[in-house]
Amino acid sequence: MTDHIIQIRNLHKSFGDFKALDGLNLDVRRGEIFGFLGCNGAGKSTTIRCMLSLIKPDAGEILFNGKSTREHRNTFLRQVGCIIEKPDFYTNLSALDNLRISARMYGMRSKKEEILSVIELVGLAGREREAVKTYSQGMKQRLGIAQALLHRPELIILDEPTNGLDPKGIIDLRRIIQRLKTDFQKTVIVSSHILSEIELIADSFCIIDRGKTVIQGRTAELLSENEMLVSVETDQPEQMFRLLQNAGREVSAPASDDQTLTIKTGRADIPDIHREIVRSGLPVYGFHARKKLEDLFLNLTQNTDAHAGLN
Amino acid sequence: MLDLIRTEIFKIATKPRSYIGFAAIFAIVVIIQLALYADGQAYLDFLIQSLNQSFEIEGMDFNGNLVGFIILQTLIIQMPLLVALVSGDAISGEIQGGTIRSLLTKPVSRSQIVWAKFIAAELYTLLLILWLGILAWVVSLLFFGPGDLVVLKSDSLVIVRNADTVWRFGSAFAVAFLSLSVVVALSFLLSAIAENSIAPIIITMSVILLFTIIGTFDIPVFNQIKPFLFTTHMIVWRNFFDRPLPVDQIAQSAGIMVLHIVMFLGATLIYFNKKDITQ
Amino acid sequence: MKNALFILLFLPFSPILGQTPNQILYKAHQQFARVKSFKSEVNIYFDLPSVSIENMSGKAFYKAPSKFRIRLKGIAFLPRDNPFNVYTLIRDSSQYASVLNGSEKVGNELCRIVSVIPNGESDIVMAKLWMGTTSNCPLKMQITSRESGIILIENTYGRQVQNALPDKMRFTVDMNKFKVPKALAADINNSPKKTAASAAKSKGTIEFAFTNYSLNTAIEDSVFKEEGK
Repeated sequence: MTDHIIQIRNLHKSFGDFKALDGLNLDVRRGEIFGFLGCNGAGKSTTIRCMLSLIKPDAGEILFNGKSTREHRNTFLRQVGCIIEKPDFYTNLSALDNLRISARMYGMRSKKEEILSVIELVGLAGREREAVKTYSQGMKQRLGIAQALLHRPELIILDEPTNGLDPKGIIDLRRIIQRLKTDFQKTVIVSSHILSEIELIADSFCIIDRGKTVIQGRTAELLSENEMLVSVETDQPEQMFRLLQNAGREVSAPASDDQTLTIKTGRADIPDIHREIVRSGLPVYGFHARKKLEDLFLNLTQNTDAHAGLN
Repeated sequence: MLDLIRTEIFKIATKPRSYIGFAAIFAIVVIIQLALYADGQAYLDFLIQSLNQSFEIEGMDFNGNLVGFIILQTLIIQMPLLVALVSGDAISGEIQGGTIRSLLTKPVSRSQIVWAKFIAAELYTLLLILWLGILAWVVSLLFFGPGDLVVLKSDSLVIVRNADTVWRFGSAFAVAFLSLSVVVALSFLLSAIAENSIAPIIITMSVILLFTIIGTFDIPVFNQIKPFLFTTHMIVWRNFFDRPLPVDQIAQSAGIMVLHIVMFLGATLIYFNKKDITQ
Repeated sequence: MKNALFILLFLPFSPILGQTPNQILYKAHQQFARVKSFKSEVNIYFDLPSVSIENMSGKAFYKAPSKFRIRLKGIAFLPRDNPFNVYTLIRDSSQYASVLNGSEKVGNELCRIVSVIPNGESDIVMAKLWMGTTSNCPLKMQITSRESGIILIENTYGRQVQNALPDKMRFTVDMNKFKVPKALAADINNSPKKTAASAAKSKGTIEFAFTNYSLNTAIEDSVFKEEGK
């Protein structure tokens, strides 16, 4: 069996004159959380819909475990659980009934215990008999994940799963996604335009723009820990800038009305920088270290042509 | 496939709109029955008064068969709307509700989904027809009693013997079911095309209304197209109450209706299989 | 005055045929007078231009002097008048005026045509009877009544001819045009198919075919009430 669970080759799709996908390529390794990034309209949803046969591509090939998903559609769909954009249910029915319907579509004679165990996994135990129309968006998202897991698929595809979720819902969802990988050994493809989420959970990611893959690889390799950004918020930016510059730090000069300075550094140097600032006695209102995915994303998507061929 | 059909039946059964048809039929039938209970005999006597001058007419009582026939004749106009309420929502309702995405990512073909939905809608239609049959005919028989049926045509009468009414009503209901199946198939096609469930219902009714109006006018240009309109053949159930039984006409109309069903359903399958789900 | 004029006009022809019309009628009356009551099976055949109705069967009951009923199940279109009323009329020659109107062959039998006008109050305004010279029974009767207009009855006799009871009675009735408002009609969208024959036809026929006559048995009066004719 191939190491890649999903391989997409030269995928094309147009809607009239609009090219939604323009020769997209993608590889997803088995057992990883794969982040699928792109601006709105970049082609993420179209790619996912092509994978799930909701949209017929004009050209190209999608392979699941090395086999064409078009030729082995049902075999593929049997091994996939998904939420596309937002999970929609028969809202007049209970969660239990919705899951029963879903199970029946897979030809499963799911026992109630099986359904209840999935409901418990996503934290909806005790609410399963309530009509879905009474659920919050977060609960619907959890139910969507329960539905995606019910038939024990190999691959989970989540298209913009954080849409409409409050911060707590986002955190809960992140935990569930991580559990899918660690506890259930699932491969998870998560598409999103919220970079920080992907940065936190993805083992690999890919950025697409205007229907083309602009970069793809392992997160650790693409976002090296030697190149991180530290933001420092202060009401004395000039003094802070001089302090850091004198300490030999690579710091960007503050703009006239900007009270935040950005330091480019390695992860190992962050505690030293922190110590230096504390010792100086300058007021600090915020100190935030981040990897540079955002910069990478902005660089790649704002000037695609310059980065063509990076993947 | 059986699981799929069961699922679709379950979906129909859990939608409140599915019961509108049953409630509407109940209300209309009861109202007509009460009205006919009060004035039915006088109404019949009035209609046949010209014949009463020439003959002693025996046994011309207002009975359950006649009530059933009158109700069937009246309600057949409303039935397409009641059927379209459910069948027009079958696919477009899933699109509107977003559940189409989940539905089409299951390991079943789109054709299977269309077939399962069509069969479920057909079962619903059958139930609706049976409900109409039970209320309009069986209840009327219990309430008004059995007897020979007087079929009032514009310039003649057909007397159907009581013993003959069972197979005639049975066949009429079967053909009425076939005509409603044309409505189901049409609203299915529109349901596959539309993105919301109101449009297929309104368009289905508009098409039926338009075709019926064309069928009503005795204008040469309309007469040319009438034989090709399915609405012309939807009233063929009445022929089961004619004598001699116009078998050829019934067979021809049934054939044309089956052709319409095949055409509409075929178009639905082709369109739905090619449809990109972008919602 | 009307009757006197009628007799004056037609009386001169009577002697030519040998028997007076009263004698002819009396013979028929004598034959029918043997029947105090009868019951029989009856098959009824309809041919009515604007009514499609299947043939029916039932039972016929008669009780002298003028009770007649056909009992059957279901809807039936029957002549409004008792077809044996003529015998009630000719029972007493003082109750009518009669006149011979010549001869005519009905089927194979030569008939004398006798016109009868009741003297007193009667629903029958006039009856024209084709009396068979062999059977002595009316083979054809054209009865003009106040209630039903003109009705033609053609009788065919068989085994009960000696009792003046026909095997078949065929009624020809003038029918009014039948019309139902289009909104109430079952053929709302079908243009009614008008054939030349059906448009022209305004007379309907009803035929009674009697079998299994059972004569002079007791028949309850209740039979003649309620439903049936």
